[in-house]
Amino acid sequence: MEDRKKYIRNFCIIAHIDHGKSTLADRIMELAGVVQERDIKEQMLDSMDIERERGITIKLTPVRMTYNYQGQEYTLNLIDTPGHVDFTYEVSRSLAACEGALLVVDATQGIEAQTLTNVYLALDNNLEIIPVINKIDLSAAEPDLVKQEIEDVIGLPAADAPCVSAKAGTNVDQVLAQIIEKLPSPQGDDNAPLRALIFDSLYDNYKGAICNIRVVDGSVQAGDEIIMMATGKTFEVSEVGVFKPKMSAIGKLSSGEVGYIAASIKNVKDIRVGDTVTTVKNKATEPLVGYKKTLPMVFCGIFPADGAKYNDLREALDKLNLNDSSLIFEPESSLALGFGFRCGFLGLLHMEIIQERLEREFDLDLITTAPSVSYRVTKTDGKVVIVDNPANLPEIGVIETIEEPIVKAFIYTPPAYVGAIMELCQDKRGTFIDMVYLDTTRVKIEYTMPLSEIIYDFFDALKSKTRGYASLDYEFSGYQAGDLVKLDFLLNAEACDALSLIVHRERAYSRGRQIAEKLKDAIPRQMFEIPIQAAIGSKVIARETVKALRKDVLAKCYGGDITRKKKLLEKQKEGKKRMRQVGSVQIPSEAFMSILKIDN
Amino acid sequence: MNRGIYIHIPFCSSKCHYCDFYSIVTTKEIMASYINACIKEMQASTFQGSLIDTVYIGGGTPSLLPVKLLEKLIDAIFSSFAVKAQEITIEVNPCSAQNIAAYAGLGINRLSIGVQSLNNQVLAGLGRRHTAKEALDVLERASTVYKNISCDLMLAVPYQQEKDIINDINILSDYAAHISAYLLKCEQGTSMYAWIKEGRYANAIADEEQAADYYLLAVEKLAQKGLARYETSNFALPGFESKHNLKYWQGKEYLGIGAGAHSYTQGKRYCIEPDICRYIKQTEAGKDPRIMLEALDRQALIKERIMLSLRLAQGLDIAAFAKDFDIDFLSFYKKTIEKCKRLLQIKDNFLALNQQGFLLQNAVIAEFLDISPA
Repeated sequence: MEDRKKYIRNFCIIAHIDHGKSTLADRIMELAGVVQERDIKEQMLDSMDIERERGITIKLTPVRMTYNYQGQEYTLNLIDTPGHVDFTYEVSRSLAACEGALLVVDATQGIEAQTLTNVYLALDNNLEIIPVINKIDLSAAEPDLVKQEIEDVIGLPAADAPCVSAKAGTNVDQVLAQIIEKLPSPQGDDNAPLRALIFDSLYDNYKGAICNIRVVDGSVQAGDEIIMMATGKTFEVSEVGVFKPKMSAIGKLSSGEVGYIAASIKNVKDIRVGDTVTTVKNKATEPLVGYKKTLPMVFCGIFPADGAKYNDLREALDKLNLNDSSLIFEPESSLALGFGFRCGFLGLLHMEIIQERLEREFDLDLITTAPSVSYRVTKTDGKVVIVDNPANLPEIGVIETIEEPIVKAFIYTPPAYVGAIMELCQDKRGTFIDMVYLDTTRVKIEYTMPLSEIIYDFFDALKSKTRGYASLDYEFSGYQAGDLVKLDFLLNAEACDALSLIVHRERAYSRGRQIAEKLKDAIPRQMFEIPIQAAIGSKVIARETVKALRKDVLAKCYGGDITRKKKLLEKQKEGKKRMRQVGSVQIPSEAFMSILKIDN
Repeated sequence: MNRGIYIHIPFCSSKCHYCDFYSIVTTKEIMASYINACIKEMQASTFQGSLIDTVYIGGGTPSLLPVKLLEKLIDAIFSSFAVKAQEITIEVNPCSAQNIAAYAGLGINRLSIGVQSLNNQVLAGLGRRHTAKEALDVLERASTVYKNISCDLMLAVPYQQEKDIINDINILSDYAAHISAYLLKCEQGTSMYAWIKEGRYANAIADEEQAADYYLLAVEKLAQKGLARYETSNFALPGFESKHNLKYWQGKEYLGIGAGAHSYTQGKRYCIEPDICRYIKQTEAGKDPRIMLEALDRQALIKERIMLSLRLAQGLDIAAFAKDFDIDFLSFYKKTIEKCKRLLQIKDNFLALNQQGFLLQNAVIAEFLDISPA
């Protein structure tokens, strides 16, 4: 029995974008005799484009392979990880399903900053890492230099790292050899009650929501009644199987193995990444370590530019939700923007990707409001309300305290940038907690900071001050009272609720001025002058004015011009496509976007 | 009812840089065939014999036509329709003005001369092929024969300065009882449109602010000379307003003859394709060359009434509006009037644009057109 596990290897591939992860995965699968069917749907390609543009590596489906090494058959499970910082938790659960990782580095590029986050995460999860130097077929390849870099920057021994060309297939067999030789086999108790780690989920049109699992203890098969330990929900297993890479049913999944469970689960939200699956009959006493309930951190309002497309937007969000259970949304309405949704995301990048996918994959024109966080307001009558829409902030008079969410931020950086980072964090109302030298090349700095400071340009600033080498992780750490105020914007003396923000008083003046200026530039000149005001309560803290139009085009209008001119003038009010009427002022949708997007 | 008749003569010796009217450079033979085609169209017209009180021969450059051909054309107009013309206008280009004296003998009593500017650099920039002196010579000759002369003046064109405008108005108003002053508007497709886009005139052309100022300046100077604005871009001594053009703005009917011409009859707007060969073929074959653009329903009529009346200095006749459409204008459009009140004025039961309003005419009209009439 124990022997079976000896011949299993569970691993993932970590790589910077375009360093060759997919190609290497393809080669490995070829060597293992797996026929890769590339019937990628258009939809997937789109989201892949977006991910590529954002510097996120494409996520592959998990694959089980069989490989014959020195006369012995091995089962190799390749599990992939999502690639961005907002999904740190998901990444960590995928890593928890593996014992090792291949670190693919382009021999012409060397280590790049974004690779590091996942490497450190892998190390922190006690994975065995095998560096692989790729693209040695290129003339600019410097495998020895890169090996040295890996040793210096990460502190991993790289002298034995296989040097491969995934494109040409050179030395890929060495990679497989090292996977088998160097990676530990999975541990776990075959006879204990079932404990399986859910590390991912996906939605299948026929089978419903599917759990991707790594069985730690025990085994599971069709017909078993399972229970999700975090939610308490039970399901009957209709099928268990593995990915080859297509889903392929098998009789039983046992300890050490990776595969999937289909149990007619209707809602993908019933599957919590990191949760432990066990059986009802023979329940495990302790769940696997590491489960966290993911909380949305960043919110924004998403409205269709054309009110008639509300339903299209809702359907689009529902569809995205199927494969992304961390996205939350609920209906919302605004005086200026009509009906839309308040959406919650794991982070800024998550938010931006969802916005782009909505626009590209579903062809929707959207208006999004400023990213915001939720605030905890204690009213004078003792009631506590959570406010995630600034427009819903209770009247100043009935507010006792406003508390804002605080995060523990962990920044990993080379020592050279420590000073700049600390300055940045102080500037963002951060409080220093700790600093630790993980080794000579890596420092971990810990700050508590208001979440609202992180969602405005903090990440970008961090990257630019450290030439991309710093990485960020953060976790929610409670609420803290602060001197927070509501910043309103008035156009032509009418408040525009879609633009309201809750900010720290210190920030109010600069934000107010900044947004008023942006509004001035974004609002097209109209028949009359438009005064723009930023105000806290009744106090105006910033002012701008959009000058009135001086003149239209004054053209002739003789017999032949009448029909054409009439059409033009009729259209003029409808607007240069997508104007939003805010009180008596017209604002193009793009203007909203530019004002309310995260600023640089 | 009295209709107007417009005849389009689409011939030019060269294309001016800003022009988007249909015209081609041509030969005497083609001109002759074309005129014959126009005559055929008129003879076959459904409106044969109807009352006509204004005639306008426009182009292109009608003055390129040999007098004999022009005579033939005008004779045909008189024989196809019941013409009791108060005004028969022909457009004249200073380069081809050798025959203007002869026009009077054909019944023409009004000349519209394309002067554009009396600054030679400006003229060259526009692609005009005459000089200021040539234009003035033509004006001298014309004024010995005609009492009713109109000149075109362009504003905010490349190389033009304030002093040019003042000078031009001073001089032209000595000859012309009517001046059409246009702010330059280049349609896409004209050479000038492209050049402006390229930035060729960087500092030599008025920006938006200056253009507005030039317009106001022209209005003021023309008024000083007795030429009152009666339409956005048209100014005249009392009694010398263009009767034919007023038909456009008053929603009256007119026939359009020739390639590229437009008509408005019995609530329908028509145009003829701007294609000379096609036109000649169609009329040869006895086919009606008109294409219907739109049949005006009540909504369209109301919108046109508003759009066109507001171009006139006197504005929209509120009583007539009530009579024609059974709508109390001031109350139905109350909100819009309130919104635009700084740009409007009401006098003697007419709603008109004020000085500022003329500058923002399109914006104001767009506001009114945004309301769906009952």
